Amino acid sequence: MSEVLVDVKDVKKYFPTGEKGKYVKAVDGVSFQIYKGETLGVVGESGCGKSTTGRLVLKLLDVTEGTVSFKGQELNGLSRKEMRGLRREMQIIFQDPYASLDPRKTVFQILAEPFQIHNKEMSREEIHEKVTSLIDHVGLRPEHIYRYPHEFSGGQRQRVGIARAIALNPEFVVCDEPVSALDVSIQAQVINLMADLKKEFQLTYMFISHDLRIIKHFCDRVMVMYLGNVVEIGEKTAIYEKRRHPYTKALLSAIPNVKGTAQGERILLTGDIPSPVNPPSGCPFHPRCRYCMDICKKEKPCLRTMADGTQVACHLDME
Amino acid sequence: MAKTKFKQRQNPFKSDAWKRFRKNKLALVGSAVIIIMVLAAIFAPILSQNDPYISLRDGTKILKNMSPVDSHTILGTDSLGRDEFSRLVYAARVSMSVGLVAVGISTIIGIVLGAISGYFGGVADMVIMRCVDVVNCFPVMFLIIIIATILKPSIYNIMIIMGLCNWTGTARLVRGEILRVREMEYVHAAVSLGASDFRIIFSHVIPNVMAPIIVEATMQMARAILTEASLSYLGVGVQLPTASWGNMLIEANNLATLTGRPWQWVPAGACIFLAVLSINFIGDGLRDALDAKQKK
Repeated sequence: MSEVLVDVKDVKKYFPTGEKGKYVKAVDGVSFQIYKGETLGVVGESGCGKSTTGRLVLKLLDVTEGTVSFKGQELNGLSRKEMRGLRREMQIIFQDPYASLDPRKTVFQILAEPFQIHNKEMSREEIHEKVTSLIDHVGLRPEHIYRYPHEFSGGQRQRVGIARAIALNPEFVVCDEPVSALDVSIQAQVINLMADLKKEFQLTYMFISHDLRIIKHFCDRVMVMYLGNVVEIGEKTAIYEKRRHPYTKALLSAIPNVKGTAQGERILLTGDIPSPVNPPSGCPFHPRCRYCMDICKKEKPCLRTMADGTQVACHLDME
Repeated sequence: MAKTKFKQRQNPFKSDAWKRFRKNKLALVGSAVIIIMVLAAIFAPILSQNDPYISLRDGTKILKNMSPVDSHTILGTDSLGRDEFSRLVYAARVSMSVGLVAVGISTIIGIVLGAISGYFGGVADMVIMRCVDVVNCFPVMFLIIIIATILKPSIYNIMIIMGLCNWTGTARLVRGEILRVREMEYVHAAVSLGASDFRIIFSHVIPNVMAPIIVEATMQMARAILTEASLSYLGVGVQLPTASWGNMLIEANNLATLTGRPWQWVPAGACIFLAVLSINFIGDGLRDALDAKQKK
């Protein structure tokens, strides 16, 4: 396995609810590594802490507990100034291309900002050259740079968002549901663009999505989250074929099948996802799990490593 | 070379806003009135036939006071024989500049404190918002009168005092807007690029909350002109012989003037009325024009 780029250890993020002593446990003790050059897909239903995890990794949010290290350097104690140097190596692509671009700035101003922050000595001409080449990389035309975001379609805006993220030539990019706000036909284009850029700039992606097909197409490893916890993490093929964890099983059985051929049993989950303010005791998934045993209600399962390297958090005997 | 080829396009926000503003007839009339008043104030020396500070005389000796409209004086003269029209246009300079400077001071204080309060939150927010509450508790008129008497009433003191008392509305407004904009993804994007707080506030946040600030400042301008007029009428504002619309109304304290010599006070009163009304119309027009929610 290649070098570890991002190392997340037992990270927790609790948001205060306003009521004393009660917290939304958005992320409740997750640990994982992201290796250099890979794409780690993060899946889970709404509210399971995917996006929060992405932001914690970039220190856009501060962790409540645990540590996040980037290239061996721990981010927790770093000041804004110390962070600034690292910021150019880790970037984010946002979900909503309508909200992630400042409506009062032209594309040129948006894309010039990273250079203005990090390369203060750059002249306007140099910046202009850089911006033009960026815009070309993401498949927009040079005359687009003096337009305002609202003059673009969703796909084009997302390309601008991607251009901003890769402007400083980062090593690591968190993609926070980058295509879920786009039309399906546009999704493919943007995904392909991201794949091309990954090759060209040797990027490492953390790809957050709830679209299982895109994850399958795009990622090397997959992490499944449920209620602020990692339930399973491992190689894509192992996750999609073995379907060890009951939650993964249910999730993957929900992928619609275009051909209409039998794809095995559909597992319907009953009940709602529990409130993260008041998570269930023991395994967070036990109230909805069809294999629930006594131990599941009392003891939270740890991630266990299987023979093929997949880690699963379940009391069931998996091998 | 590529730069010259694609010329910087006009900000569509501005042109759209102008389109919507143009549709509002009242706002257009208001703007016309204010533009005429501003021009009159700027060209006061050319427009006025007589010096506003010199008492006119009939022939050589007799003071030409309280005379009605005639060929030499467009609006007659006041009780000391000074040309009413000249005083009116010179007063426009004073009244408008007091309004402008006072609002300028209060808006800047309001933006800075509101921005700090909204962006950083926590202790700074609490301290600043409590200050707002305290300043809001002051009976402003009374406070201004007291300070003006202590500091010696002058046009500059009035500007400063009014500026220092009226920033609370803007501060609250800016704070609220910043709380809204701060959670926008483009602000998160700037954070993830490593932008400084200063840069985020002034380059991303403030431009996006400018519309309501402009509207608020316009409305405050109308209030400031009224306050100045009241203070000057009470004698603690702009001091004679400098003319302001407010202190020109002092003449109307005299019952004989009030009933028999309307040219001494109607024009000044009308100017205050028209200026405040027009500015309020402009403010309403701007509010509708700049409101992004109405954007199609």
